[in-house]
Order: sequence, then structure tokens, then C-alpha cells
Amino acid sequence: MEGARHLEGGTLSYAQAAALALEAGCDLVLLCNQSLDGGQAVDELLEGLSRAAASGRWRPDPDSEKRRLSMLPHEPPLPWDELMRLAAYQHALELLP
Amino acid sequence: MSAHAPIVLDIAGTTLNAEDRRRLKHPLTGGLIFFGRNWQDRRQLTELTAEIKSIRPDVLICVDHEGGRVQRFKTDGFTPVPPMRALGQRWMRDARGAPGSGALAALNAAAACGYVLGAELRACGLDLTFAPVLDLDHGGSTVIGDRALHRDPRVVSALAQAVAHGLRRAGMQHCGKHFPGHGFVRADSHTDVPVDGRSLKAILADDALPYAALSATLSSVMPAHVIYPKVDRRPAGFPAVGCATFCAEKWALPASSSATTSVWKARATWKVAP
Repeated sequence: MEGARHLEGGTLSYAQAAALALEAGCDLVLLCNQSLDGGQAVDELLEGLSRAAASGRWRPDPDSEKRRLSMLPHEPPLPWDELMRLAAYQHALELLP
Repeated sequence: MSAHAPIVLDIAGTTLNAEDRRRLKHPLTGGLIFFGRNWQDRRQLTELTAEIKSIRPDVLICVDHEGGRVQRFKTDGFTPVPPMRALGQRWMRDARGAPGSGALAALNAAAACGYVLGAELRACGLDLTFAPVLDLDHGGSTVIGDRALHRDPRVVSALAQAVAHGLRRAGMQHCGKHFPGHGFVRADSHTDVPVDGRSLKAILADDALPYAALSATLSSVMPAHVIYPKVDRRPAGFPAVGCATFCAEKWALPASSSATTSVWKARATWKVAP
């Protein structure tokens, strides 16, 4: 995380780094392992990016959101016990290297 | 729901606390990534994902399940899928007098790996796994190592496509990583920013080739947090230049042959933190 925010001698806030990534064309930004100490960094990112949106420093992209939503599953998951009985699944297990 | 919910965050425990619920409801929250610490057993995991979806049905629940050592859930029925390198090795083993038989067997095994990984995760309510790894097995990278399918980008492309197919068949979304290639550097980008000093031409012809080869397959891509000084002073995963770069300038080739164009179309996911 620390490395990711250091840019040519300066350090960006989480929200600044995220806004730059999004402006650059990313659809999603990941903030990992920052919920562990109470999650201050997570809140900083959520609130900071909200402020950036409110002030126009970051413009939300509806196309980006469409692509995110298109990644959601189209069908409910098969329950585990049914999966275990599924012939295709059992066949795939036999094929593992 | 926000016009754009781009933030993927995580939680500390095996259940949701009040803070987690509050953050989950935030309109900018678009995903959640799970780690080993969020796992106790299958029942707990399934209940957790169900609760998350009851609060935010549209949130993407993600995890790093590649097989091998990067698999967060390994017990209580989850199948330990072999490291991806095993598929590359299978590719190279032809039956006597049957050239190509190794490749065919490896492709089928790769689809099976993707299907098993995806079906088990999907049954527990997960939506997306950050796999397959498209990095090349250059040797010497302690980070990538046996997570890579093969040294040859053509073999990596073919096998990764089969893994992605297996995941899709299970209803699981996938993500190719780490663009344009993390396999050449030795340092771990989680603790240090590694540097890959090769030329752009060399990287595009070798490590980045799978992104071009799979431009009609990949549903998302994650950039490497690596600096490629011959291309740019800032890491590829770094937005100001990184992603902009790979969709616009320095990573770009003419549109028809551009690995970067395919990455752009494949929707970059930028990892803010490891």
C-alpha cells in the first residue's frame, strides 16, 4: 500500500490515488487489509472520494458502473450438496493434474 | 445505488460488524475482497456472503483463488487445486508417438481446474476470483514462481483461456493478472516496488502477449504494481500514468495490434493496495 501511494517523491491520500486510477480508466480500485486497525483508511477513502465527486474533482462514470454490474452472476448459486452430486463436477475433479 | 461504485474493500473478521455494514451500504462501495482471515468454514462463509448480498445485492464478492498456494479456503470440502505450473508441465508431456497429446490433456485439465475452483466458490456465494495469472515463469520470481502456467506466452495464453472457460462455466467471473507482466521481477510488490528494466518492445512481445491473445476472453484485468523505467518512471499500476498510459500513450501500439487496447477493453482493475 505504501508503495502504491508514493509518486515521484510525494505521497497521495487514498482518495487521491483512487481518483487518479479511476480518471485513468480503471473501473474498480482495491483497498486491501486496511480494515484491520479499525478501518480508518477505508473510511478515509470512502469519504475522500465522496468529497472528490461532490467537488467535481472526480466524475463518476456510468459506463464503468455498467461494466461492474455486468460482472454480477446471472443465476443463483448451486447449493454445495447439489454441486457435490453433479456429474460435471465429479468429472472435473478426476481431470485435475 | 450510486452512479458508479468503484471501491472494493475488505472486512476484518468472519462476520460483519456494525462498521462493516455501514461501509457496505456506502454508495461508493462496489465490491468486497475476502482473505484467509474471513474464513472459518463453509457454513460461515456461505452465511457471510448471503448477509452481504442481503444488504447490498449489487456488491461484487471477490477473492484470490488461483489454485496452488494462492487459495484462501482450503478445508471443509474445498478442493486443493494444484499450482498452475502443473498444467504447463502437463502440456509438455506427450504420450509416446502422439505429439500434441500433452497440450490437449493440459487444456482439458485447465478447464477442469477453473471449473472446480469456480463452482466451489460460487456455491459459497462468491462472484469473482482474481485468476488466472498470466505472468510468465521466468524463474527467479519468488512472488510468482509456480503460480505461472509456463514460460512461453503462447502456452500461457492457451491454458489461461481454458481456465477462464472453466470459471465461466461455473458462473464465476475472472480477472487476468498482472498486466503487463509481473514474472520477470524478483521483489514482492506487496512490500517493495519492483523494477523491470526491459524495453517496451521486449515486454509487449513476451510478457504482455497473453493480454492481446485473450482480448476476446478476459472480462477484467489487474495491473502489476511494478515500475517499468524504460516505459515510464511510475508503476504500471499507477494511475497518473499507469493505466492512462496503457490505454493511451506509452504502452500503446497501433490500434489493430495493441495489447493495451485489449486491456483497455477488458476493463482494468487497479489494485490500490496489495
